[in-house]
Amino acid sequence: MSPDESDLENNRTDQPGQELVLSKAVVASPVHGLGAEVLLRGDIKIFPNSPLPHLDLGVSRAFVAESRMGAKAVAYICADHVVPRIDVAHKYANMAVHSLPKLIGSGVVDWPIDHREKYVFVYEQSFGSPLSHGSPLSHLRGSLSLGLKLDFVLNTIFHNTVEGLAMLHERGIAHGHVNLANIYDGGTPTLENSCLGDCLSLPSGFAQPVLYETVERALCDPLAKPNLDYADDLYALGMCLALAIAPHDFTEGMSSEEIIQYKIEQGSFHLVTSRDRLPGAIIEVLRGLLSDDVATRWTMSDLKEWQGGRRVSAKQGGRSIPKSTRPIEFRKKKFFRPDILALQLRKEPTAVLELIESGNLYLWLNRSLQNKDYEVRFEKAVDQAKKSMSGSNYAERMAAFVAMALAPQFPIFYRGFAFAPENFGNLLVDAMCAGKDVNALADVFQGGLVSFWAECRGLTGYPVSDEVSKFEACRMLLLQKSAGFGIERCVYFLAPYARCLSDKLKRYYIRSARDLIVALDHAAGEKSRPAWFVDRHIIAFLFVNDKSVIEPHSSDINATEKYRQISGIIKIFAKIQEREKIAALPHLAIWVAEHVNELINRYHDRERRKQIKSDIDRVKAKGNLIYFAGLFGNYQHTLDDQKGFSQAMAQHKALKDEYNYLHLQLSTNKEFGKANGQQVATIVSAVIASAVIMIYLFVNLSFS
Amino acid sequence: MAQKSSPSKSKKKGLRGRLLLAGLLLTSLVILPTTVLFFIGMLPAIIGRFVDHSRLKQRTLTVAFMNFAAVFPFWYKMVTTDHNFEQTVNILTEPMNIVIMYGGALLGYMIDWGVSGIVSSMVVQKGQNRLRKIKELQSELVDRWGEEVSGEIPLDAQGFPLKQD
Repeated sequence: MSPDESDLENNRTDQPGQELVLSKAVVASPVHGLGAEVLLRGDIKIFPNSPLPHLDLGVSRAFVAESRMGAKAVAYICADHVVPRIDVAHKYANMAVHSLPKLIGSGVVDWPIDHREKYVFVYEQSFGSPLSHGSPLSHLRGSLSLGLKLDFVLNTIFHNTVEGLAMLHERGIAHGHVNLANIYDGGTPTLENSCLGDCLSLPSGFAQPVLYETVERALCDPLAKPNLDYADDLYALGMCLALAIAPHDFTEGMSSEEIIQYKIEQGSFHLVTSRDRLPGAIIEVLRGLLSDDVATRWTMSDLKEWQGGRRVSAKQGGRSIPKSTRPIEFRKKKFFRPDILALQLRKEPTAVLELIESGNLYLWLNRSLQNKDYEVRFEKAVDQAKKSMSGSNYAERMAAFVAMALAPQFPIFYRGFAFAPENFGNLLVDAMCAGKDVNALADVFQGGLVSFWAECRGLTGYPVSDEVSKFEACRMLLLQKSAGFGIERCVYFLAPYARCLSDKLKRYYIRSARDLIVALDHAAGEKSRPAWFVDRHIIAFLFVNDKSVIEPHSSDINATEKYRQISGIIKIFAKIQEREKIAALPHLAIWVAEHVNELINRYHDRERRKQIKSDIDRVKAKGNLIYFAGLFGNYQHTLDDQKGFSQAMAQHKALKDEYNYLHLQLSTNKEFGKANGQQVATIVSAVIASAVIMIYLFVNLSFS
Repeated sequence: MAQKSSPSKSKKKGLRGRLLLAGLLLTSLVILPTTVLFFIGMLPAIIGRFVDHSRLKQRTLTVAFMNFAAVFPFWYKMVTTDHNFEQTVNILTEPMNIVIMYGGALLGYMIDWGVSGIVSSMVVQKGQNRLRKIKELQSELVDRWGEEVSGEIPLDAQGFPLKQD
C-alpha cells in the first residue's frame, strides 16, 4: 500500500467488507499513444482514441484532451439525443475556483468515431478519480456510502463542494449533478483538492441518481425534470454528506421506486438515518439540507452560517400531506395517502376508470380523507378528463388528471411519461432523435393536461413555471400543418437550445442559421447530398432560432410551385450569408444553381433567360448567393418582363387578326384590290381628260 | 339635345338640296342648248351612274371624265359661235360627233378595266407578301416570348402555360 493510500485508509471508519472505491484505473495515464487528434477551435486537441471511461457522466463520454498551452485536459463529448447546457457555458467559463474544473473551451468538433459533429466541453485536467463508482446513469442505484471520518469529510469533500456550489450559485448556475460519482479526488488521496465534475454536457439532473434527487425530480423522466434550483443542489449535497460518512449503504437492497416511496412516506432525512446513527454534529445540517419541502430546506447562507460555527436549527413547518383514517383499496393494495395512490394510478390507468366510476375514490376523499381541497380538485379532474371521453386514451387521460388532483406536487404522469412541463422539449428531442413515434407526446398538448396541472399547483401553493403557457402556443402550432409549424416547431419552441434534428443534416451539429448554411455547403459537396435543401425540421428550427430570416419567405417555401420554393430558399440563404458575412458558399451555390431553371423560366423573355443563365454559370463557383438573390429579386426587371410580354401578346394578336383577314380576303374575295384599281383608273382618267381639254383649249386659243 | 337637333339638321339639309336642285333646274333651262348637248353627249356616263352599284362610283367617274373630255370640244365650239338650240341639234344630228362623244366614254370604260385589273393583281401580290411577313413576325415573337405569346394555350394569371396533369 502506498503512503497516499494508507493516508486515505486512515480516514475511514472501521467498516468490514466495505471497499474503498477510488479508482485506480486513472493511475495509468492513457496519454501515451494517443493517436489522431481532433481540434476544437483550432488549438485544443482532443484524442478520440483515448477515452476516459471513469470520467464519463451518463451518456457524455470523456476523452483525453490537451489545452492550447499543452496542459492535460478532459473533453466531454455530448450525446446526440440530449440538449447540453450551452446556455450557461459562458457564465461557467469565467469562473476560477479549484473546486470546479476550469472550462477551457466548448464547441462543435467533427468526431471521427461517430463520423459526425458533436458538441464538446473541454475542462482542465484536475479531476482525479470519482469518489464513488456507483453508475451515475443507473437510476436504480447510484450511491455507495464511503464511511469516512466526519472531520475529514467536512474539511475536504464537503468544504470544497460547498465552495464550488456557492461560486456556481453566485453566477446563477445550478449544478444538477452533485453526487459522489461526480465528485473527484482532485488527483490526491487526501481529497484536499476534491472537486465537482462536469455539469454542462447533459441537461440538468439527467444523470443524477434517484437517491440524490428530491421526490418531485426523482419521479420525472431524466430528460424532463423540473427546472433546476439551487435548493436541489443543496439537497444533493446533503445526500453526499450522508453517504460520505455513513458506514453502511442505507439504500442497500432498495429499488429506486422503494427509495422514492420511502422518501415520500418517511422523508429523506429519515432514510439517511435509518440504518446507522450519524454524528450529532451534522444531524441539524442533514435535517436542513434533506428537508423534502423546499420552503424549509437550508439555503447556501444557512449553510455558510453553520460552517461559520453558528447554530442554525432546521426550519419547521412546510406542507403536510393529509392521511386518511381508513384506507382505499386499489388493485388489492391499501392506500392511506393520496400522493402514494397517485403513483399507483399511473401504473394501471385502465383500472382507474373502474375506481372512479364505482364512486369509491370520491367516497374515500369525502369520508376518510375529509379534505375539501382534494375533493374539489378531484371533481375538476374528472370533469376535465370527460371532455375528451371520445378519445382513444380516455383511461390514461383520466388517470393523469386524477393523479394531478391527488398529488399536485408531482410531475405529470401520462401514457408512460413522467415530466415537468418546463423541460418537456427534451423528451421531444429524444423521441425525434430515436425516431420514436411522437404522437403520444403530441397528445400532451391536447385536452388541457398541462393547464390543469398548473391550476392544481397554483391552488396548492406550489410554484408554477411560466413555461406552461407555451403549451397552449404549441397546441395552436399543431393545428397548422404546413412546414414551420406542427410537432417539429414544438420541439424547437420547447427546447430552444436543441440542435437541428433534420435527417438531411444528421452529420452536423447545427445550433444557428450560420451553422445551418455552412453545413448545407458541406453537404452540397458530398456525393450523397439530399434532394432538396430544407425539410420540416430545418424550417421549424429557423422559425424558432432566426425568425426574421425565414418569416418573410415562409409562404414561398411552403408553396406548391417549385419556382416559389427555390426563390424563398435563395432569399433565405442570401440573407444569412450577408448577415453572417460568409465570404463564399461554393458548393451550396452550385447546388442552388442546379435548381434555378424553374426560377429562370419565370421570365417570359427568352433573351433575359439566356442572360441570367450565363450570369449564373459565370458566378456560381464563387459561392455568392447574395448575387443570386439580386438576380431574381429585382422587381423592376419582373415588371418590365411582364409589360414586355403583354405588349408582345397584343402585337401577336393584332398580327393574327390581320393575317386572318388578309387570308380570308385573298382566298374568298375575287374583287380584292378592285376598288384600289378603280381609284387609280379614276385618277388616270381624270388626268387624261384634263390633258385632252387643256391641249384642245391651247390649240384653239393659239390659232384663233 | 342631340336627338332634338338631328331632325332639324336633316330638314335644313333637305331644304338646301331642294333649293340647289331648283337653282340647277333654273340654270339648265336658262342654258338649255348646253344642257341638251351634255345630256345627250354624256348619256353613257349617266347610264353608267345607274348601273354602277359601287359605293364610291369610281367606274362612273372614270367614264364620266373621258366622256366629258369628248363632249367638251363640241360644247366649246357652240359657246364660242352660236349658243342656241339649233346649233345643238346640228351637233347632235351629226353621227360622227356622237361616235366621238361615246368613244370617249368607251375609252373611259377601257381605262377602268385595264388599270383596275393591273392594280388589283398588284394589290393581291402585296397581300401575299404581307401574309408571309406576318408569319415571320409571329415566329420572331414566339422565339423571344415563347409559345404562350400566341394566346393559343391556357395560361395562368402571370401568363405562363398551365401545367396539364
